[in-house]
Amino acid sequence: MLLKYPQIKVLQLFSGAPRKGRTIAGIAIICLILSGCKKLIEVPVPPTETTPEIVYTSDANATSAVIGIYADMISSKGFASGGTRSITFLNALSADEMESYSSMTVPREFYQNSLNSNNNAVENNLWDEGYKYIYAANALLEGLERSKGLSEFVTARLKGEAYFIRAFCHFYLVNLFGDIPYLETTDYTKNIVSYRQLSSTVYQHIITDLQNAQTLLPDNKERLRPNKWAATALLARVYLYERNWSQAEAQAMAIIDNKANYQLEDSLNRVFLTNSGEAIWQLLSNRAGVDTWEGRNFILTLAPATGESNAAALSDYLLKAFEKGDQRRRAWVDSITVGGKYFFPYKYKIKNDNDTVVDESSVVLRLAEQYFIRAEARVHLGNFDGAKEDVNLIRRRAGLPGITANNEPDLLAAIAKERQVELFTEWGHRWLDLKRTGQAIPVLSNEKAPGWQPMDTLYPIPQNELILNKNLTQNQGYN
Amino acid sequence: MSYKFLFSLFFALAVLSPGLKAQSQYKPVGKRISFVGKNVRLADFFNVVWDQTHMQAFYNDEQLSSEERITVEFRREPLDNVLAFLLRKKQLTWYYREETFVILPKKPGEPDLGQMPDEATMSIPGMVTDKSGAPLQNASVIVKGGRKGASTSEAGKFLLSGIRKKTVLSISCIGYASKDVQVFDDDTLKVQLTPAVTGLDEVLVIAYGTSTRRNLTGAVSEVTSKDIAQQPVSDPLLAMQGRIPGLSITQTSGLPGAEVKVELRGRNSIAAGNNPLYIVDGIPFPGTALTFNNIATEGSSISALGASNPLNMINIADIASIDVLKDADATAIYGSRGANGVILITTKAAKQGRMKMDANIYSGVGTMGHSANYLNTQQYLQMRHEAFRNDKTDPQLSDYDIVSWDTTRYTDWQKELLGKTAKITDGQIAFSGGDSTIQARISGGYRRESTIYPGDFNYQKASGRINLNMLSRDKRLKLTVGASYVADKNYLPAKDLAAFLGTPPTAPVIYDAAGKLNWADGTFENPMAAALRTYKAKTSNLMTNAVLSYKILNGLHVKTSIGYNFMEMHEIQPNPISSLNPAGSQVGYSNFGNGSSKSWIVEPQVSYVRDIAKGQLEVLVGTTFQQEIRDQEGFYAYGYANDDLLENMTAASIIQKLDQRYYQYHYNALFGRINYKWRDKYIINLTGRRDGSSRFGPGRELANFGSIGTAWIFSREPWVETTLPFLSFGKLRASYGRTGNDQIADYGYYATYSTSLPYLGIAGLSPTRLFNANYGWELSNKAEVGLELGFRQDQVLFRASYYHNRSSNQLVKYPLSGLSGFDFIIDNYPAVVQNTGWEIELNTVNVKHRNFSWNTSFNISIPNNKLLKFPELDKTPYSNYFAVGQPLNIIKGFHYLGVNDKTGLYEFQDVNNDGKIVALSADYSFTKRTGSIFYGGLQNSLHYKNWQLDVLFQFVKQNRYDFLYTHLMPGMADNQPVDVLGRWQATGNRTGTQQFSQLLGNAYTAYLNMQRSDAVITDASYARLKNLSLGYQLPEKWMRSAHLQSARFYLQGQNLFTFTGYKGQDPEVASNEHEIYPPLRIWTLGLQLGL
Repeated sequence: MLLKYPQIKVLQLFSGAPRKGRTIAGIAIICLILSGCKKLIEVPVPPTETTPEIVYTSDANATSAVIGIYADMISSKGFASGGTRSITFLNALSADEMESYSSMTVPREFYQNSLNSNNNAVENNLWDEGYKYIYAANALLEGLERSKGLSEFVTARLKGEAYFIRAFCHFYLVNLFGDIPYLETTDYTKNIVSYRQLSSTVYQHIITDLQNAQTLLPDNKERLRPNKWAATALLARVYLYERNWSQAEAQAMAIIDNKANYQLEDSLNRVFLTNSGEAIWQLLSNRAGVDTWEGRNFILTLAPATGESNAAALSDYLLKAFEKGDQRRRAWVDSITVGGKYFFPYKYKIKNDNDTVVDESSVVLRLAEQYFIRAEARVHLGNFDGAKEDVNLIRRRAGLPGITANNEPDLLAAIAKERQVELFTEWGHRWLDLKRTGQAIPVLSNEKAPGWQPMDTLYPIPQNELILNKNLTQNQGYN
Repeated sequence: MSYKFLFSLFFALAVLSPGLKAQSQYKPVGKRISFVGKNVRLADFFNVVWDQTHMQAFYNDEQLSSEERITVEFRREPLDNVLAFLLRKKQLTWYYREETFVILPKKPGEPDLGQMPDEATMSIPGMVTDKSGAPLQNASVIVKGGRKGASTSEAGKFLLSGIRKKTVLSISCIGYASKDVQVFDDDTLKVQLTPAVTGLDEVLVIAYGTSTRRNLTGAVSEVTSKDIAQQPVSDPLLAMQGRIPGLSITQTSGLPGAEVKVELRGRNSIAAGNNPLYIVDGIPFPGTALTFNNIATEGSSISALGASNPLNMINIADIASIDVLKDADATAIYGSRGANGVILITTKAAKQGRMKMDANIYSGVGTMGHSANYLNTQQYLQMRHEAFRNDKTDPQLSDYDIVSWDTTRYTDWQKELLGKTAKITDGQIAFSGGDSTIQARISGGYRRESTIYPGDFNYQKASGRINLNMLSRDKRLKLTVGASYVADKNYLPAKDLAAFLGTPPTAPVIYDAAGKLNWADGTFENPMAAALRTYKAKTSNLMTNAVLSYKILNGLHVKTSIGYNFMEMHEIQPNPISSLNPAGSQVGYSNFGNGSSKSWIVEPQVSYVRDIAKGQLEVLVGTTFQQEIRDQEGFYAYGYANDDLLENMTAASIIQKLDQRYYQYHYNALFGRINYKWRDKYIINLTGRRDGSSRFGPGRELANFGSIGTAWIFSREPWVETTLPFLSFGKLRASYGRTGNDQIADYGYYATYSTSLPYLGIAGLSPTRLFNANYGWELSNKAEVGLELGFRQDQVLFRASYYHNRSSNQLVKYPLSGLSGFDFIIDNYPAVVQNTGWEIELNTVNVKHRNFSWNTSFNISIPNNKLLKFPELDKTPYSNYFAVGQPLNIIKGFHYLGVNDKTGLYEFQDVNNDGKIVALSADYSFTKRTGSIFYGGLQNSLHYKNWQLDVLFQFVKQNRYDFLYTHLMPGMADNQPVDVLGRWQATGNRTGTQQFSQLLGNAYTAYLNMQRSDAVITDASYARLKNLSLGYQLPEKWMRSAHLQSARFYLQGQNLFTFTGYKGQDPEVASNEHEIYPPLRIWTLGLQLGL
């Protein structure tokens, strides 16, 4: 009833139209029907991006993929950058090296050893960023596996760098967080449900990766990209942490003996220069005006600020650790008097740099540490003289007399003390040393009261990670 | 049956018949016609005559076109009179022959047959025009209480004969208010109609066409230029607040140009975009801005504007109407882009008539409407010292605010940072006019608006627009062209200064003796530094569109609309040395952002209208080709020797490219609509669209969408007319259909590497995103029923609708564990979000007199959002944000119990009784709804003689973040709202705030838990006197002597009073981060002139 004739009438839609009109209408309709062509809705990859297929077809592009990791590391202000949210800075606050003047919760929670599981730096700058580089390294490994047309030399080198980066990031993650997942694939469906692995297992993987890296990486004098010796240096440290004394000694010795490449700088003021003889691996700034983020953020020109940058000063405890006459106290520590007197790390001396030459670069691995590794390993292996020789080499450079200790505990204590004043505010050495030698609780209970609790040796697994991966568990004491 | 086909035979018979004369004397007795119709085809009318009298018409199409449109109203009119009326102006007559009447040419001098002579009648020629003098076609002119009627020609003319003196004629036209006119003599009657206000026949813009409220099958609401003009705002979205049911518009900040959150009928998508589709004069308009903030990585935002608001790039004074399309019937023709509704903006068209000029200028002031109460110095120090006492520690060297600063100082930061008066000036001018073939409108405008910040921050906008209509002489070819250029300049601080309201009141002086910022030796993070770090954004937008249409036949049109839009944005954010904390770097630097968006669209269409079987059929078929390219880049320039050249990139010693993004979007579709209206009583509307979009992975680019809409105008049923005589209009409508949502990132399915900063002189490459091929459309099924009633001759109009929408195949931005190396992956998930709701509108004409009238409009929307289904929710990370059966806008967390009167700490419900309050455990499962619960507006319009008063109240019932918990823990070096003074001090105190503390200890944990509890969501409902507009029209007498067409003075107020229990500055911009620059209280005075 409602639609009496419409069917017929629709068919007669153009019945009344003159022939010409009918033709135009017909053409118009055919045009409409012909549209919907797939070509019209295809878009090419944007010019600002490229596909994995292309990345792994040329040496240059594949190299860019590994370069991208270092570029991100130094520019992020987090993890490896030396900036306000890097391992270097945050670990210095957690340990007894630096005092925060900030009113911001992120650094204050580190300084007061009162971390919450939703601390932004823990999540974004330590955990997420570490795993981001691990993903990139895994992508690199998988891409290189499939690659065609790359030279053998470049393939080996890039693979070696990927193994090294994967081991390096896992090393810090396992030391900051305890048991963690060790990830070896880009398959996110697997990664996001992974479990924490025992730290001993993680270490096994790290060792394997570093061994691979050692064989793949070139033996050259490159310091701004990791080479064979960077892998060896990290491996020496890993063996030390794993209390594999003979291997630790052997790896450290390999570098120390490579005198053609690496020598201690005589002058304390040259240690942190770009391509210093002592540097094994350095990260080069790619930010205009900044040589190192350490220099930018540590050097005070006024009282420590209440924000995040320039908001910390060296602790009295660290200052007291320097022996009288220690040249390092003079060369690597400076102070400013504004209202009060504030001391700050002065290893990196350039706060602002207006030229394009990067005079100083952030040192990740350096030779001095290798002497300490060998010394400590030698103590455990009973070679006290050898150990003393190593330590005294460093002390001599600082204008200090040699140590005379002659038993294991005294030697170990002397080495620990020496590490404290040599490696301060560098890459969390103090924080990790206190933890691995069991000194964290006795030392920090005193120094960091009232906030300190034994649980604080491990950082909390970020709350969002627990939300996102039900297989993860929280470290003890955190919620 | 084709009458004219048989005509020649009968004509021959008739002419040859010797009994012709005798036959013509025959008069059918008792054959009467009752019929009311506007714009009815003559052929259809003769069908009615056949139905009612069984008299068949015979005529020659060359003499009388069956396509001719007539508008008539006959009530039991004898057939003779009917035919006399129909043929009154034509040289035609008729005779009866059995069951037929034959129409044929009149011999010269022969009088009209059937004409009833009357001694005192006359013929009335007349003309109907709109206010500007442009003729109105198809207006109906009907003798009141009589049977006679006519409709106007293309020139707006009509002729009525046989009219008695003092007869009242009722003149009506679609889109205009009807008017009654009394006839005195036979002079040409000139009638001007004014546009309808609450009428059912006002023209509504719908997808690819127009309709009327009466005939609509879908849900459409409209704001017209009249309402828009009452508000001294520059953003079209803000002019709609409180006026459109179903449309929730929330400012994210009161800053000029700031982002506005728009939600039409609730949140459909869990993670993809929820913006409606904006279409300006048929051309899609970008819904997201080109700001640097949009491309910059986290933490490096350079402006206080958020994402900024591109709709600001439309000059509000050029807008004729904004139509909001809501249900499937109205939006399904937009397919994949219609799921969140469609907002159609139509600019003012060129009109026929003599050239005229309209000028409008207003100027005024804006201030902060309501200030929050913060601690003064004495209260602040009391809090700080009490915190140290509670913590059993002494202030350290690092506690600068009490150890190093002069603690007798007091600064009211609210007054310092947000205490100025903003000034607003707005001027607009428009010229229009034209003849019947060419019409033009040219307009221009300028606006300047300053802020309540200290310093000379301001927003400026200049715009120009041209609209042209051209019509060929045979009226078949028509071209409409529009072009506009809008440029704006926003000069603001790089960061919202409202974020610094927590600065301690004891802070040192802001400027030192030399007039420079005081950093107090580095102990004071001076908030005014943020005012020196400025942000300058220049945006320009060229928008052009053209519609070319050709009438092939009566009712058959081909049409192509073409549009091109080019938007460009340049941002500079200088950081002068004077703004830099001397503790850090002392080298000036600047951020630069450039963005451009180019898009074009071509939409060829064919439409056909034909009357079929007592109804009208409209068919539309079309196709869309659309492409957009967006390019954005950011630079960092460092090493400026002084502060003078910071805006010049080349003066920097080092320039770095921070990021570059490039997006390309291709879209292609085929769409159609069939509308059939039978006897103006039953309407059915079918729409469909096949869409393809480049945003989806291989094999998933195409999808189909469609809808069915029906309406039944039951007030036209005879039984309703008799049983419900008080009902002047009644319509029931229902629609169902499916739309999609493609508001997701471009290239979402590609796994790619993008360039990062260089290292060692080599460009780096970093993985951009994860590969995901199964990336498909998000679908929304929408159902709707509506009831529309009119009473008292439509003086009271009531509309109610209920909608029920379900969005499935949710494109979820699935957050990934950091273990994946990424933050998220976008994936389709079989989750279902349901939006239901009621929308009620009531428009009444309370009083209608020549000198006094009073209209009221009221609307209320009660949205209800629910996550209906989310398979295995508890196994996904979303379990901590969503709960099945609850709205999407909830927070999940602890349940706050109060302050423990013994420990003085906040306490929460320990659900699993493990003695601990642990996030993500069972303790963490309480939910609280945020966002709006209902909202609406109430507008009263009063007119008395030359005065016009409009008052709009807007109301929102909502829950939002309580500003109390956006500060640091009470006791720390951060100022607090005075509410914290009611804190716990000693055992037994029953309070709402826990003890003061500044340590990161138990109190701190309790405070963090508080921020993750249901207590942070508070009632932020408000009712606001949104707009008041008082106008005075100068008396006509004066205007005539001043040669003016119109002149009006007006006073306007915006956000005048807010009734709320919310204690922060403004409940609309409540955030969980800090206070936000509030919407201002604005007063303006203006003058409008017409020449």
